[in-house]
Amino acid sequence: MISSRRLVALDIAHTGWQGRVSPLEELRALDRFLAGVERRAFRMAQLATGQDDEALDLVQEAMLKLVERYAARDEAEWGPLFHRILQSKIRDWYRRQRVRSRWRVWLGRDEDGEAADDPLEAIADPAMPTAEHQVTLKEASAALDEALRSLPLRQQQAFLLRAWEELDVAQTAAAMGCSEGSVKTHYFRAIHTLRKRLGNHWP
Amino acid sequence: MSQLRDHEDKAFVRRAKAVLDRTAADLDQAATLRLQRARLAALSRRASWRPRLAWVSGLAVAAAAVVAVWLWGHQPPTQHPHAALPWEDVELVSSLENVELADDLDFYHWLAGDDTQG
Repeated sequence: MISSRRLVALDIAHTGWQGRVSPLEELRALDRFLAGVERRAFRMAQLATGQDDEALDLVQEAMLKLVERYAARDEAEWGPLFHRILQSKIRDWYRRQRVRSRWRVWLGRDEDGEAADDPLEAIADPAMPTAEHQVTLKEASAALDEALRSLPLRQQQAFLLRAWEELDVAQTAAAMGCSEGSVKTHYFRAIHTLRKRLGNHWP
Repeated sequence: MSQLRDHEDKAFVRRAKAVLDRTAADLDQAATLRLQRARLAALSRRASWRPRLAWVSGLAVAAAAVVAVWLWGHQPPTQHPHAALPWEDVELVSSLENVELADDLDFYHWLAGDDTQG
């Protein structure tokens, strides 16, 4: 954790930073950026992995890598860079999962049984508001989540980065590590598959 | 037709974005706290990083390179011109062809002496 005393010490210790961003300003800017993006990043990783813990780990790794390697870059570059790191980590996670599932099939094990039978999963979250519009929103959100999860990973990434993060085609291509033409194709297919799947259930 | 589809697509994207924004805002407290901890851990790592440490390590590497170049340039001259090529010596000794040459060494001595004398 960073104490405020340490931040002040950093600022005082580096007085020769005229014309450049001081370490304290840089830290504050990084904090603002990460605080602004962390929830959406978590939801993206959650939709891709289907698991909260895995999603949180991926977001944490992406944050660390951005801060360690790209903190000195221009602030405007952080968004595309962060998403590039996160999407790369999600793709790596997918590859690892594929290998593991192949091994599970080969060994004849089913590790999902325990989670499916967990009685805690059936207990409602008391912190959730119970107003009617919240129920509608929750239904809409659940339907959208399900539809997004059913998309191939590349379409899911293209949709979330273009539609939600509002990255342009070039930035999305950089984040996904593919061509701009591929982004357009994945995005187009994602929208039409989602619209078809959600159909009348969409509020 | 295409314009209508574009319009519907845009409306769909707007609604999807609104729903996604809402779900991100309504994250449960446990996830929110873990995200905050992750952010602070990343920032702490940046805070403990010092630009001057990078300078020091850079200077150390540069100094080591200068010393290495100086030492290489100021080596005392060696007595034997082939001292720096030990592998060539090994090859000369170990080659089968050179073993045969060694058998005729007396002949080559004689030949060399003949050359210098005659």
